[in-house]
Amino acid sequence: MWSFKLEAKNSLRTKKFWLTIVLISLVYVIAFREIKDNLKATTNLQGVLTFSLIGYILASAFLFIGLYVLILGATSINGDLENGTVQISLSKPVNRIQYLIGKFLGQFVSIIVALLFATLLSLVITRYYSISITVKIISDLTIANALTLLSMLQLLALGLLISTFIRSQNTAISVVLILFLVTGLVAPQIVDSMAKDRAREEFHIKTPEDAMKMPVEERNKYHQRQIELQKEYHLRYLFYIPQVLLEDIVIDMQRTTFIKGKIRTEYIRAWDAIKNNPLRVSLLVGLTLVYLIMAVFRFVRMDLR
Amino acid sequence: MLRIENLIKIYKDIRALDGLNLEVKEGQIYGFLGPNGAGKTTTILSILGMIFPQKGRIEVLGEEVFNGKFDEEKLIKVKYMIGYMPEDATLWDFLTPMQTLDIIGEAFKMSKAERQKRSEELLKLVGLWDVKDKKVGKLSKGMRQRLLLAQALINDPELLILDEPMSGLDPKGIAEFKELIRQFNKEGKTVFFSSHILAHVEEICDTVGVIVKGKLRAQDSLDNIKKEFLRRAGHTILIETNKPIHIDLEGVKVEVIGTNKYRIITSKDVREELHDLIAVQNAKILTMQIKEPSLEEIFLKMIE
Repeated sequence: MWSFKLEAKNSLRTKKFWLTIVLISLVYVIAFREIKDNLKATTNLQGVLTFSLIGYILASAFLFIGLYVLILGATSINGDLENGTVQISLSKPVNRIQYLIGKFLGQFVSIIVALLFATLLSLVITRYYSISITVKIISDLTIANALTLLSMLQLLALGLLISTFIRSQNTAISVVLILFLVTGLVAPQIVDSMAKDRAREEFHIKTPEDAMKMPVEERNKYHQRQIELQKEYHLRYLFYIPQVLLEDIVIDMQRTTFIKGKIRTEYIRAWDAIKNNPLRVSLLVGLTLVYLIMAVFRFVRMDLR
Repeated sequence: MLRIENLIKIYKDIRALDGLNLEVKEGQIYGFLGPNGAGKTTTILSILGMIFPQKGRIEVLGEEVFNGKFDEEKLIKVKYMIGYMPEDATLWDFLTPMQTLDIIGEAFKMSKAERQKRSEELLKLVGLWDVKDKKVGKLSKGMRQRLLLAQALINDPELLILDEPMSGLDPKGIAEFKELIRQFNKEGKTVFFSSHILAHVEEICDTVGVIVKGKLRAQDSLDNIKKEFLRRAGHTILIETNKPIHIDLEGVKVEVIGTNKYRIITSKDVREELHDLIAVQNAKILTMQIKEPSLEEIFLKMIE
């Protein structure tokens, strides 16, 4: 597809992309130190390492790749209108749907490169701590990356949709920054505190001291219920935020059980975590398609001037 | 080659095109003149299917691409034969001129060898061969304008559509640009270009269309437009006599513009009748001058 080739070249050359790569590298500088501490406190080296690395891929994705992707999408059509390249492209024998899908897939290439870079850094860390790179680690990282990619695609499609509504790139960037702040920080905080309130209500906890006074078994049950409610509320109120859906799937990779007052953390395979969350995975895929179809629908009816 | 009938485009409450009709014949250099905001770009973008008019009909290269709605298949088909140069586009800064033409050629499904050959020819034609490997972002405005023209020519189009192609160019650049358009036209190709500056179209266009507020005010050769204007607006004769006179001729409007000085506006040449009339009043003509409007004045009058 003609516009795919053009966009892939374009997105890999932007300053936004290279800034994202630098920021991901910084996240992994922090990761080096923190993973060292995590490994000291465990005997399940591979499990902890895999989970920590996936955590860092997600952190990179949420903090930087996500913002990069949203901005990339939100400034694509309006950007092309501002610099006149959309008129040049569509004056050639290229139809609008091909153009938009090609652009989407071209931008997708830069996300893959950013994620591969994050994965490569993860593997470097694995080797640094002399932990052998097993098939399990590779497959778990690949699956986690694929999931991250799905959530990033959703953000890209949303950005693309925004770019068909907002004509100015600068306004689109402002909207996206606000959106990122609200959906990445404010909304999850509010929803999580709602879940905590509900858990307190169920366990008749009025003050923090009440929780401390509870027997260990009961307290563990309370914490577990809090996590359950958070996930439930995420699905109910934050189903449109891909980062939240992804986080809930990944959290399932770490299964914490409380047996006779002792906490036991078990790491399950990434594929099993996906199988446990079919609705969340469907939402990741489904909403991406919805946004993309809406963007196409809007773009094919837009006056391009 | 290009026919537009009763085209209407309304943006919210602005009638950008208000029943526009125009026709461009094969082999013409058609100057599409009009002030800023008259609807020139809207017309061009409608021809290319980038703007959706509400009503009307557009026929390009014998294909009816729009009749109330666009026929996507026909539109794609005619785009293989159209070259378009937008107003003030930046192109892709990260590509070189050579890469730009190569990737544009790909959109026309040209083979690698064809693209290579055509790009070389065009870069030499527009004088960009020496900077073929320089990033577009580092080229001057004039160079980028020439590259925009080159990209419009990559498919050797039958119809070349240029939107304000000479805006921002220096006089030398404008002269070179006009020469390029002439060369292209000599090969039998049709050129349709818009401008809000009469001087840009005056020398090279055989036909001119004047658009004002979304409607075509006139469409003809510049000579015919001038004749028609004179027919409608009339001749202006300035005379000065040795004493006051009274002019009473049918169809003649007289304004006193000074002591014994008169401006006579008439739809026909009345110089002989004037001589007789003044002689009857025992007055003498000291000066008589027929004032013909310049094209610039005609244009300004039309767009008023």
